[in-house]
Amino acid sequence: MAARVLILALTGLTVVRTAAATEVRLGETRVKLSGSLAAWHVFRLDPDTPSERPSSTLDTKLEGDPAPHFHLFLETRLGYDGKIGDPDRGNPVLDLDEIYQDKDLFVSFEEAYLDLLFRRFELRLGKQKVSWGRLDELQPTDNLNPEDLTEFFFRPELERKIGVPGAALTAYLGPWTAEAVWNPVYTAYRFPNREDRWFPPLLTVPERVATPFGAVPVRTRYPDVDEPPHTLASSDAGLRFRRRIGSAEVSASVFHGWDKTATFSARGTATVVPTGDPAVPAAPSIDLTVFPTLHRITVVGGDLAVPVWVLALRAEAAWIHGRFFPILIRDQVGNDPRLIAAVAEAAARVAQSGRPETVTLPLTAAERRREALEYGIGFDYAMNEAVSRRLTGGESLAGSFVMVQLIERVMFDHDAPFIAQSVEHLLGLTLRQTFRDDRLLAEIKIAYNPNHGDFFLWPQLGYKLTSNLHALLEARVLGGDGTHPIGQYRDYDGIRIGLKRFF
Amino acid sequence: MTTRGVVLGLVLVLAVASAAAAAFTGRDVIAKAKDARECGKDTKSAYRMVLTSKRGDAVKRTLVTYWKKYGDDSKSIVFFREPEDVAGTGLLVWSAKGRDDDQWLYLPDLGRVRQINASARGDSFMGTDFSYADLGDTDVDERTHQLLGEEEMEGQPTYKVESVPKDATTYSKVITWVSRETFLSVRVDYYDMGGALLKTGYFRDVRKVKGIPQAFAIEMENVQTGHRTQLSLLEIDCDSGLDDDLFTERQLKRGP
Repeated sequence: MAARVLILALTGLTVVRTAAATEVRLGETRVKLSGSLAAWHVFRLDPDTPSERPSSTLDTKLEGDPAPHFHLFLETRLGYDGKIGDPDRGNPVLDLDEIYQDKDLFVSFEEAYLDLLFRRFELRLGKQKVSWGRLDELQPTDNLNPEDLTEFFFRPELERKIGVPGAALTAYLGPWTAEAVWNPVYTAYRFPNREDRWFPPLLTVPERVATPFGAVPVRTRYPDVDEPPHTLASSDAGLRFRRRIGSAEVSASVFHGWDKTATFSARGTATVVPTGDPAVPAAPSIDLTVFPTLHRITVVGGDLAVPVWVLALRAEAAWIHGRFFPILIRDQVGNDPRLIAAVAEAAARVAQSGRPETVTLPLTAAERRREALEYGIGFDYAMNEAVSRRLTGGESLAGSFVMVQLIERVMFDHDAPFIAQSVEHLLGLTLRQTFRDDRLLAEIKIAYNPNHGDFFLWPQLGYKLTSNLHALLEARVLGGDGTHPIGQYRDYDGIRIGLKRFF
Repeated sequence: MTTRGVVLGLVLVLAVASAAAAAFTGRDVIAKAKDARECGKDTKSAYRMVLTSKRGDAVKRTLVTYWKKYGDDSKSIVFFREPEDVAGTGLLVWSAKGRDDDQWLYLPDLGRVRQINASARGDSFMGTDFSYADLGDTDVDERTHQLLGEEEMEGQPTYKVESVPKDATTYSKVITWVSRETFLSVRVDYYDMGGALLKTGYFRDVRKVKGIPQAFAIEMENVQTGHRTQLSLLEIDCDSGLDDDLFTERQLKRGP
């Protein structure tokens, strides 16, 4: 199946030479169809990590102005997802309320909305992506859309966002712009399945754990989230005010709704059965359920963008109330004295009675709620020709783009073995340069967490074979501490190659 | 009237005409050329742009631009329409006399408008051989101008003017051939800071739009790199009463 899809995709990419965006005008009405066809493969550098098959997507965008003041937009994505390890070939449409998507052949409605556009206000109704905040990749005040985390962060930011059904009203009130967003139903973030390449090692429980009773088998289930009821109390709402003060743009916002960060909890039972062996009269096994948890948060924050000297400065901050932070529980199962005591007591009863018994394991809470503050500052610099000439004698570096950013998160009352430290830092660097009249684009993104030595490097090369056919080559390099969010993937380095045709 | 009288009269007319022409200074010519370029208080135009390297590789783009004058200041917004990989990209510029431009960039793949540090006015516009200064508003008095005389250029009678920037950072001098008939530039030579010819621009295929002559074919060649940019004006409309709301962030996201 994977080979067939790849051959089809490559054929489409290379053979269809003359396809171009189609635009039709009939009086005031305008309709445009455009999109892209892409195919790629990721080669893992460590054969002991999960592999993935080649993937392909067909994105189509249909937009039109059916009448004055109306604008329609529909973006659909059809594809074959080679990351899915154990596919389900049922209904291919991705479900909005499921975290684990196991459809390798899929259909997704990325966005589908109607805009009503008037001079003083705009209303957008339908499935949409909202982008608040000023920082790159991670914005503390941008909480309206969940993200697709099935490929970690190795996808463009907007592509990671999942469209959410809702209503967004923007009002232009003199120097102020006010935005109000309401998403009435819960939309799940997407997480890799247990069999997929990017399933977090930190969530993986070994199939056997060493205990005082010997090696005990562990069966772990990863059920999907329990979708919350469709009530007003289950909706998301956000309000943002923006204005320009001199050359600076400032905004303040408030959000209340579902936390889009992935948090999990665990519950488990131990089943002890009699063996009939006087030496080992009872044998335990463990059934563990690791399940996504949903929490409501309130975020109050703001952001700022202002040109300073030759730089473009961006800053953002948010107070987050109600967020839960994970505690590392992976190693508990075989070592926690309370768990061992519970199983030992059950084993004694089983040995006595000769009847199997199941007991609930008193697992420590896998997450705890803490108040937090997130803030960041970044600046952009685009090198001009004069500086390039001073550095190199020519204009080869003119247009080079540099972005540096620091994001920090402060967790208050850090009084438990949280995975994160009380103050976490994340440094980001992006370098971008084009060559040969923008035919060749080179970009590298680097993230570094000095707390744990975690990092990832993401160099990318894109070459325009023609104006509508691009070849892509990228590397993914990760490293750091295996017990932290980035470092857990330190063995997951890979090379991705692909082709993309626009039409 | 005697023959002698006719000849005397002709000589008088010619002398007056000459005197009038000679009364133009270099600054006058450049100021009139700047006025001639302006297509009303606002302009909507669409261009096809072809960038050709020395090797002959060509990149084609189509863009739509809107421009509006606000006294000494101006606002402009540019949208790329083709090719499809850059379609929807927009650049908004607010230019004010005496201070750096405010600029915003919208990349559809990012989904958000980004305020950017103003590009140096001498820098290349979007990778072309035109600088922001070449395409935007320039203050006539940023340079001192000397009328070098009259010449025929591209089959047209022109005034030849040498302009030297008062605060030179990109060009040491600029020589402009301005049509005596339309006051549109016919050819412009730009010299680098070392005094060598850097690039040459030609303005051809002049047609009238609402009575205002416009060059429908513009070519700029960087003679040092061999790179060439050709701009073909696909459509233009002047003084159509562009709305102020067109030059805003929300329009940048909406597109043309």
